Amino acid sequence: MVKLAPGGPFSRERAFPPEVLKKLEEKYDLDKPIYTQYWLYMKRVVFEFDLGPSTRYADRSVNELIATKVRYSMTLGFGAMVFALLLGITAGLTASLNHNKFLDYAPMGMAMVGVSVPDFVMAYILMIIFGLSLNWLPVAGVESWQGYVLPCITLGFVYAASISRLTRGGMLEILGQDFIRTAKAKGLPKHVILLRHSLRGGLLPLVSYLGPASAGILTGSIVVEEIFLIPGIGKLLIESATNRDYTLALGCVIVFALLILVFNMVVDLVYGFLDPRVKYE
Amino acid sequence: MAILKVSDLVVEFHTDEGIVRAVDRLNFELEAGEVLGIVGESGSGKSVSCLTLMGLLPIPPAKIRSGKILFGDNDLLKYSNAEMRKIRGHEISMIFQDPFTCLNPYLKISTQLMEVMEFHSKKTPAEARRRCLEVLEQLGIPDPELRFNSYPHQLSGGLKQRIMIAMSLLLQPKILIADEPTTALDVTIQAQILDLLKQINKDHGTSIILITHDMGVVAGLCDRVQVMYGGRLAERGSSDDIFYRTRHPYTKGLLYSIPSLTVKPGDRLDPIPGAPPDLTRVGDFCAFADRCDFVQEDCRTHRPPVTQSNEDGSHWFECYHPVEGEKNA
Ligand SMILES: Nc1ncnc2c1ncn2[C@@H]1O[C@H](COP(=O)(O)OP(=O)(O)OP(=O)(O)O)[C@@H](O)[C@H]1O
Ligand SMILES: [Mg+2]
Repeated sequence: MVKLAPGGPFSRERAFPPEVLKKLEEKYDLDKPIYTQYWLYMKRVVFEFDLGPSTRYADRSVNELIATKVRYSMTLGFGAMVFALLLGITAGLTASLNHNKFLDYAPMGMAMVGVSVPDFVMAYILMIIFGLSLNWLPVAGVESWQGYVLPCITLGFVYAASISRLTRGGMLEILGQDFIRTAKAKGLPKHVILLRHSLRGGLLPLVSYLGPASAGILTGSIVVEEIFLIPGIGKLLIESATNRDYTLALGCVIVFALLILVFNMVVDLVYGFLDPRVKYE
Repeated sequence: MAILKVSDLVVEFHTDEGIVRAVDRLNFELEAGEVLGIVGESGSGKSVSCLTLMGLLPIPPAKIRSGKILFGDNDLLKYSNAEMRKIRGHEISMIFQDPFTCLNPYLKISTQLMEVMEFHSKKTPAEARRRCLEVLEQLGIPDPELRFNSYPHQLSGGLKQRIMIAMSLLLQPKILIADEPTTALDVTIQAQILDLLKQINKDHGTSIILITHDMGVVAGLCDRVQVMYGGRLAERGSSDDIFYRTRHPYTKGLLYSIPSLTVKPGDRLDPIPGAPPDLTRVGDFCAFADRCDFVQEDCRTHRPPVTQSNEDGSHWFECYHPVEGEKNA
């Protein structure tokens, strides 16, 4: 698909002499028919975990390029996820335990806003308030950990909002169940009813959401890295796409896909661990 | 001797449709060691009154307007949450209708049994475990060790209800409240569970309050019966009083609803014409007046007083125009 876009990695303002171009295309197998290219590429990726050389940066392999960037993206994604979980679960629990009171409406109102404001609007609002007006936090770059704060919030907020709603819904559902009444009838203290009897079932909807959420955070990171100038894989992907750096762009996409796959598998395992009724053969 | 004495209990629910008076000036006593049956149509306040005894009403929307629940010398309604918690599951325990939803699907049976003792007794885990297995064995649960380590979804409905009963008996409560304990089970299992309750009552002298729709169950099991209608007691007496010396027209209607052999099992009988009373309408009149064959003017202007049917006052009813209490049924 990448190849359908017009232009190629070597079409620059100043054209290469034709014989140099030919040499280059040979090196990257671009002279071969498309299905051969595909076959060669797949063979290398699957059997050698080698995503090939970058077509743009001749001396660097895609593996190496991605490896240097992955740290930034991981920190960002991880930070955003932790932020979303902490805020979302806290808000959701607070709301569910104060059903139909102020402490229910307030967090849910926030969540409503959180879900409807797009990433980039959120980013600029945060930048203006905390970066430019209050001058507390840097608005771009990640030279220090403070640099991650605003991007993580931007990226995580939507998910915090969804997570809080799921947590609230899940908890309310569980708290209305007959077995909670049984637990009360046994004379168990409140904290035991909450922690032992409710939390597991109440957080299950959230757990199944974490797969899609991590995928969303991953793709969201592309935009956020661009906005906050974070040199991560997302930014790499955008650059590679604009440069028609086939192997690099493909490499980034494959890494993304792999990560999403892994997240979903982890989520399934966690779900099975939490719910004894789900059994894997 | 009465172990529990409920007087003048009024419970209301504040709902969007108005104030629903689910329990309306209810008076009754539970004797030590007896099995008390509570019967009545859906919505007559059987569950609500028992949940009130347990301190398990959802407040709000529920509100206890007045009344006393004397347990020994103490009024349970004056107890704090923490004090009630010590009573629940320890002195008074309760089992519910649907064993399929009443056990926590995420926790092992062992956890759910052991935790009762974790918070009510000073038993070590080993002692608690031994006690659990002992009770499981007493209740005729095959292979108790295996069930003990299972999750609820691995057990049948009858077994689940047995587990629920075991759970409520671990600390030998004085009172066991069973709210339609067999409704969700199939017929053969029903009989087993009822036998089990009878056994518990005999062996340990546990007082049992048994809520049911089934007059047949009442006849087989209960020493005393009270018939509820519209949040009030229509009639109360020994099983024989209720079955053979019926006084309240509503009780009579209920007795006619016992399925005879010509009726296919599973048929829902509703031989009493009319709908259950509108509980938002509270006032000084007989709750059954609109459906009663014997209704007269005074039924609609005053709530009938409690009238005694025998000398010692153990059989009484709330009706101006009772049916003549000779041979019924
Ligand atoms: N949570 C609640 N909110 C509002 N009203 C309620 C609530 N629980 C019970 N009620 C009302 O209280 C009345 C008595 O209900 P209750 O559950 O005690 O009936 P019941 O005799 O146990 O009936 P069933 O045989 O169906 O179990 C009902 O009319 C119902 O409308
Ligand atoms: Mg009920």
